[in-house]
Amino acid sequence: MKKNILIIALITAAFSWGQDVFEKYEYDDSVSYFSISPKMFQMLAKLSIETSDPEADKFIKLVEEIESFKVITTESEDIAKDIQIWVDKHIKIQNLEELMRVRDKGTHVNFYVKSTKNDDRVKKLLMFVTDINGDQINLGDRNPETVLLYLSGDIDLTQISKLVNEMNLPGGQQLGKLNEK
Amino acid sequence: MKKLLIFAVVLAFVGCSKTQSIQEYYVAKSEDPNFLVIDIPTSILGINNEVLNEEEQAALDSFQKLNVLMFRKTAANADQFPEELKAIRQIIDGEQFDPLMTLSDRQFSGKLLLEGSVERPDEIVFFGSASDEGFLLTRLIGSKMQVEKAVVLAKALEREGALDNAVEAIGQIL
Repeated sequence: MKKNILIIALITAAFSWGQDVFEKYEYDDSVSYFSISPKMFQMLAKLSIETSDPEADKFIKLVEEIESFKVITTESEDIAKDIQIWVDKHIKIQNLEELMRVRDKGTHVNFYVKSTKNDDRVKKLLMFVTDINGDQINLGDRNPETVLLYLSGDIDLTQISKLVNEMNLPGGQQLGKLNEK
Repeated sequence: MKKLLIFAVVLAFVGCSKTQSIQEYYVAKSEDPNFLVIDIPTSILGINNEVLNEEEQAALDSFQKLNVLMFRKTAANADQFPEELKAIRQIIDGEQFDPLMTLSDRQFSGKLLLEGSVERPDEIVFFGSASDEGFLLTRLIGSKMQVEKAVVLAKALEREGALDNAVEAIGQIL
């Protein structure tokens, strides 16, 4: 009996995992989606690219430590709601801790992590940005309602803040300061 | 030696049977006037076997050809486009391939996929679509491709002016 319950629980867990918001909205016209799979990172590491630019080398090192990278942004309210639901659920299932919460006018930025013993390093980083008025975040010609960034690997938070800044997303500066404490 | 060759061919066929869905699609569409199909073997690089060292030769041999398939959206076939897009997406999002990178943004989507192991892929696929242009499927086919040698190989090809040969050869085809 117990075994059955366990099996059902496992199947449900697997099913809910399959309902990944990223894949669900991959081809939706009101969504921008970018992802790099673990296999791509493995391949990049194999290519062992070398540059003479120390900044670029740092970036490559950062990339080698990442296992998977996904970002989704949307202008659609309905999809934004669905992403919110997925985030809430995922935080519970994966037992993520809140790292930081930033509020700037109408924009909310929440960071969740799966931490390691080392304070600077995390196994998972989930950054969830909601912008109620859609006027704070500017990515080219669009003003997304919601941005969800999801990273896993052996991640150095100090380096990630640079990446977030590069991408013109809010919260990068705060993330950088967090590590100076 | 001959036996070995036959064995290799048989093995290649067995290997291919798994990839049949995309291969079948490819073959079926090469008859379709809405599609443009181009087959580019690596021999087009016109590399003389003697100029490459063993490492470079082995790397080059692991890459076999580049297949390009294009659907150009026109007023005449616009109705057909959503169906074709759905069909090809089903194949590339199927179990045969592992995604490497995905980018989609409103009208545009691009995807890089791989078949086989990361160390030695048998096929690398790029698929791109734009809702008002059509789509493009590019397949780099080989056997246990030595991806990490790509840099070494690129240098060798540059040294031998292979890219110029290829451009010239493709120009002649067209």
